[in-house]
Amino acid sequence: MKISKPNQIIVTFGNAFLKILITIAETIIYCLALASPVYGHSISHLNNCYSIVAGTTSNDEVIEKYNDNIVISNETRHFEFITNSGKPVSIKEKHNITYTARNSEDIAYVIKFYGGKSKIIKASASGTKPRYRTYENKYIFYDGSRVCFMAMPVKKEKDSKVRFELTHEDPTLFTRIFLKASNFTKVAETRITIPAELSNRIKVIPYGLLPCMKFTQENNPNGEMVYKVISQNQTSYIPLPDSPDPNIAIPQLFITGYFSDVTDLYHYISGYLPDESVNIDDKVKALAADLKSKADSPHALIDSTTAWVRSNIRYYAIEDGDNAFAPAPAANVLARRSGDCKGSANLIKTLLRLNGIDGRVAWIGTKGSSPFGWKEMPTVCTGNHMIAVALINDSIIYLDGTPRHAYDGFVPAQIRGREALIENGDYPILKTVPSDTNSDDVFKITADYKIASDVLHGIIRHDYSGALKVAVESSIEDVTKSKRDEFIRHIVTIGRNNSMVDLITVSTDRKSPVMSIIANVSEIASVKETSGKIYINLQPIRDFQFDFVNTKDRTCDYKKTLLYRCDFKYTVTIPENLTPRHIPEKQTIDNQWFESSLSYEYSNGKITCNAHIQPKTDIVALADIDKYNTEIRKIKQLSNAHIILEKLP
Amino acid sequence: MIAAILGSSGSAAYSADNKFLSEAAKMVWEKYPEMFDATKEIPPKLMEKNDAVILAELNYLFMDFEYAQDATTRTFTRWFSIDRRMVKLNNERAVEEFSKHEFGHKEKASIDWYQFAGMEIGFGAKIHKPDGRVIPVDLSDAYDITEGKNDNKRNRIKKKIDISGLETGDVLDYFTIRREWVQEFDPPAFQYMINEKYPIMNLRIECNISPEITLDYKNYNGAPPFIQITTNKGRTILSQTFKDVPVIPNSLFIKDKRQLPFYYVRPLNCRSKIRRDFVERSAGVNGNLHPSFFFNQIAQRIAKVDFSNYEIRGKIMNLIKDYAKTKPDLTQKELLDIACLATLYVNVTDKKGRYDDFETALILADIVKKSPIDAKDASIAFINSRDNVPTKEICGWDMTSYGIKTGDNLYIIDTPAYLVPGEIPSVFHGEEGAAYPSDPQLIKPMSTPSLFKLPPNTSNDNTSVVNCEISICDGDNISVTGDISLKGDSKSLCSKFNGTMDILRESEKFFNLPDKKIFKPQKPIESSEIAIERINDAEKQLSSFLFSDADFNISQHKIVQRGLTPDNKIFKLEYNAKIPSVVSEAGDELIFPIGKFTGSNSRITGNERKRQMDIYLQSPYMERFNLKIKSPEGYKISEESLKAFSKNISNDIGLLIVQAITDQNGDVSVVVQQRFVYPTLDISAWQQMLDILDARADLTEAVIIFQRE
Repeated sequence: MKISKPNQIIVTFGNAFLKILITIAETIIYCLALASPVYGHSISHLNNCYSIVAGTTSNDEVIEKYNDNIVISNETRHFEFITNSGKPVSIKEKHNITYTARNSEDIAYVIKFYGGKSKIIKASASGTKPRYRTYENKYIFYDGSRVCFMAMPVKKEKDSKVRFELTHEDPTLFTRIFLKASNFTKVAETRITIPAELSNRIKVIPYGLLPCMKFTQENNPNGEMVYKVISQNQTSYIPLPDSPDPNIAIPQLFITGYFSDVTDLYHYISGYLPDESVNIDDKVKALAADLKSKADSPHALIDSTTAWVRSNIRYYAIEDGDNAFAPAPAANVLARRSGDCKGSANLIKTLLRLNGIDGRVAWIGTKGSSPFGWKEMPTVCTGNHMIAVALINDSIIYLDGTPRHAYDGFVPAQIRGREALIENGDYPILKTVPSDTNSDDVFKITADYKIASDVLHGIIRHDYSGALKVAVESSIEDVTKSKRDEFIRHIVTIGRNNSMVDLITVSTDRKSPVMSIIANVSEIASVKETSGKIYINLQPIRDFQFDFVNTKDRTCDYKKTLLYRCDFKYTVTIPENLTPRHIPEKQTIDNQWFESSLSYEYSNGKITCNAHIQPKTDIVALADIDKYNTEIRKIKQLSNAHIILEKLP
Repeated sequence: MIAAILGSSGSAAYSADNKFLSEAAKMVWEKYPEMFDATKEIPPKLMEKNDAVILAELNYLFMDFEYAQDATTRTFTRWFSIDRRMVKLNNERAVEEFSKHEFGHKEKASIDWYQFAGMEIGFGAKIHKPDGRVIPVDLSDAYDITEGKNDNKRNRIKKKIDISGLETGDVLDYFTIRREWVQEFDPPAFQYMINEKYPIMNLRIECNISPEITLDYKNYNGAPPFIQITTNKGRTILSQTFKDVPVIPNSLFIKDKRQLPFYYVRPLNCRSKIRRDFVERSAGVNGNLHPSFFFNQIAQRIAKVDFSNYEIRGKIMNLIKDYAKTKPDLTQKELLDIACLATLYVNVTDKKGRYDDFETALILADIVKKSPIDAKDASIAFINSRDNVPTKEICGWDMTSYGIKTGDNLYIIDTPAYLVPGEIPSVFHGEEGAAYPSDPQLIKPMSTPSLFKLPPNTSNDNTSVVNCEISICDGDNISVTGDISLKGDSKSLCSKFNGTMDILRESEKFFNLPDKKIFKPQKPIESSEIAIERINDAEKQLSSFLFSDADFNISQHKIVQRGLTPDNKIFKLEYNAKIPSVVSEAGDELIFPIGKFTGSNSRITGNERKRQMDIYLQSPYMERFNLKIKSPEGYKISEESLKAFSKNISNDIGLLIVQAITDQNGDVSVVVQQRFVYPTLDISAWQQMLDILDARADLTEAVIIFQRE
């Protein structure tokens, strides 16, 4: 491997600044909206006190409190529909923002997304020039998005203005406007003007508006329908990796009416499905035949087909232009050995149909993508995912081609309970994906320990079921092979700082919803002897979902990544010369977020500890996070309880 | 073909993409076909342990030289470098890793409007299937990443490609080619590391150099010397091959430049009018030149200095004199410290400053020779840290760190920002350096520098001391107040608390500069957003150091002193933490997990426990935690539990002492002290090191017992 050492000359090479800014954008920007809002960046609420910016003293004897140093004093976004022969052809957007710095001079990072059918006509800002670039998203290989960004100096108590003018050339894509404030915003107005000839058709529907927002709709003297949202003193909202999906968490306006109903929408999007002439080639046929030869029943064939696609088609997403809607032909996906959700769904459907099974594709919005179903909101933004389905014997089997380590019959949590728009000739089928498989998601620990000096030795077994199995198996496979054993050790010893494990066996099978890891374990320093007593620190609650939620600078609700039940059982064999002096009492916790119980009992020379946790919801509202953390504290305290043994007289 | 790849003479424009790529591919695929055999059998053990195995790798450099084809005498160095790899993909993870590539970068370097350097990256790939088919990768599959308002391919920054059709079991043969040129200046140096992330069955490193180029090279840490041959056209070929290159077995406590085999290749434009090399060189390839050769380059650079260029000296001198007037009893050492601080401050803040390290050292040497410091013996010193090759093994005047030496005092210019000027990072201590007179008149041709060795520093020079009071308030919370003092290299722990402006403002405060004289940048150097992120990171890092529980975090901090000026070398910070209670009740006893407050130390596990290389620490250091735990009301400490908690491990390389006692108030005082005495250790000391680290890791689970009175 060769590394080049740069020479010591002053150069103006490329885009180091851009790379830094893009990195900032990616860590801060959490969603790509179809109608691109502006994200101006500044600090949000602070619990701590800093003096940081040029012009203030650095001596921490004088500590200044910062709370939104950069504010938006005024923001206006005006959208105007342009028609031709009574049809919407484009939307013109004018977006003006006025920034000011409260305490000291600062830099505001202003970012505006566009690209594809959204074009920037003008962009300007005080004291800086806009820069533009292809936007690179770590999940999507290429989608044609572009970003305009500026690092704009903002002076204390002086206005700095940013102006954008855009044209959105495809009205069908203009389906939502986010009303998020990334800076404290004193006054903001979002206005959408719909020409009279469209006003009966195109509607604007508010969602999740905050108390500081007022929504109005009225005709103006020209007969145009004007929808307006005015907000005052809107606090900033910075999404975090553990916050609910911004697509449902952020107040927004939905624009609907391009499609008269869900069937009209269906006709539009199903028009993108590839023709059979490009979909099937000899290789696709050969694969279908091979799969059929190895399956002894239609259900087995459905499972093996889906499993083959999951294991052999790598995720690769190209979403620019029509690619955002058109599934890649099955033949292409197979040749590439890669594809996005649409490509995988189309390949599964095609393989099934070649083998006489009624396979179809279905459009679906994953959890957190949209608060509405297809009928309520027949727009393209209601769905962000595609799966395959098999119709067999009056039942529908849902087949998501994207999770790589899924077992037969697995339905990802993100589509459970969601409405699927299933391909069905001229009229689609609308069905809700069952959510009864939520109860399959379980984390189980069983351990048998013996005491040896200050160590608990034993055999521990972790069973991961359902969505948890898929998640854990994917995590393990993502780690480089040379470090995999180490990673598995880390998983097995989760919650314990000083454990050594060996003789690990991992059992997993495509046909089983359970993955097991069994190991010999030594929990070092978990047994202490003092004053003639033995203190055992079992720490039975061993799961990362019971971590405290970070409240520092938090402006959003908390959402768990995955909800699953925990069943833990530990037995400790007590040496014959010892007897329990203290065993913690049974404790239960029952609140709006989870129910738990922890119990110990002693019999036949063994102490058995059982812990059960059943989550109730995956969302904790911002206002309740302190309360939630208190409940977590309770669980952790229960888990910290020690068993005390003493010597028999 | 080579000419097409190198690009046209004297022109800033590049050949059309396709021609460059197709010519490059043709050349690359034809090179060493016997090496790149996709059917080569791979030992099962390699397949078992690795996501991928590199069947063959070629690192190739071709460098040429030309004069401009016009009336000027501009000189150009043009080169391309190829990295080709043939990789067997053993699993999906490897397929994912090797499926995505970027190329097509075009960069240029200019001074004002004049472009004087450029670079372009090409790519090519083929897939070898298990059934013997070879499928070329279609580069038209790549997507352009562009800058500019519109997506115009002319404004391409780079291309990215996902290789279609790649599967587990395939062999991917791919290359990256960088085509570069530079006018007048020297090309960059090249470093060839031999070991990589995956095992390599067959590796070849080769450099093909024009007879008109000057090139120095050196092999390090056991890398075998290059085989050097001259072709009949006078070109020099340096090469070496390797079989079965393993993966480095350990990743902790290593220093690449001191332990891993590599080559350093340094080309120079000896015909340039803008010479960076201050000794006339003739063209030709020189391997493993005696270090005195490069030392002499440094000397000749000093000899050619024109001090009149360094306008900032006046401003620096004024700062020093003004300060000295207020403190007439300063020692010479103190004055030297102040001179160094003043020089660095002015160099950064003055528009006429921004000199490189070498020039800054010259300026500083000139400054300290003058009154009021009068360090007439000030010399230009150069020394390498353990993050670099030893000083006596440099392969270029710019492969070292510069400073000044006067008496026993050494000031290195390029030190981390958290150290005060005059503080020397531990990685330099114990190393050899050399010095030349700073007066150009005293430099003679081929003069020998005076050698010196920095004495090793001790663990007392790099200390972290934590004083902490813990109160068990109620069932819910534990209140923690404390402070941390950091000295020497240990200050790196809290370096993120100091931003650039903090550092400059501290200097201004030290010099007592009035408001009209302090540095006022035209635009903020750091936005509030970035500053907040930096400080939050600093808090997290400190919390991780103080506590072994990831849920324990500092809630507030106050910086008492930043440790950035000669009168204030210790970093000190006070903190509060409101920690969710981790006390467990057991009948009439309270069990307090004291170990969670004694710092974070994970046990070393797995393959890292099997040490196969000598050990390099960043510095010898001492950590000390002084904890005071207030006994909860109605409880007293179990003395037995305190005894059980205490520990004493001491060996040749360090110690871990844990002591716990009760005071007259019944409160518990705990001292945890860990020390490592040496920065470098022979592999034989590994078990001793593990004994200390394991004991420290065990400490995180320690508990003490309070019993009801």
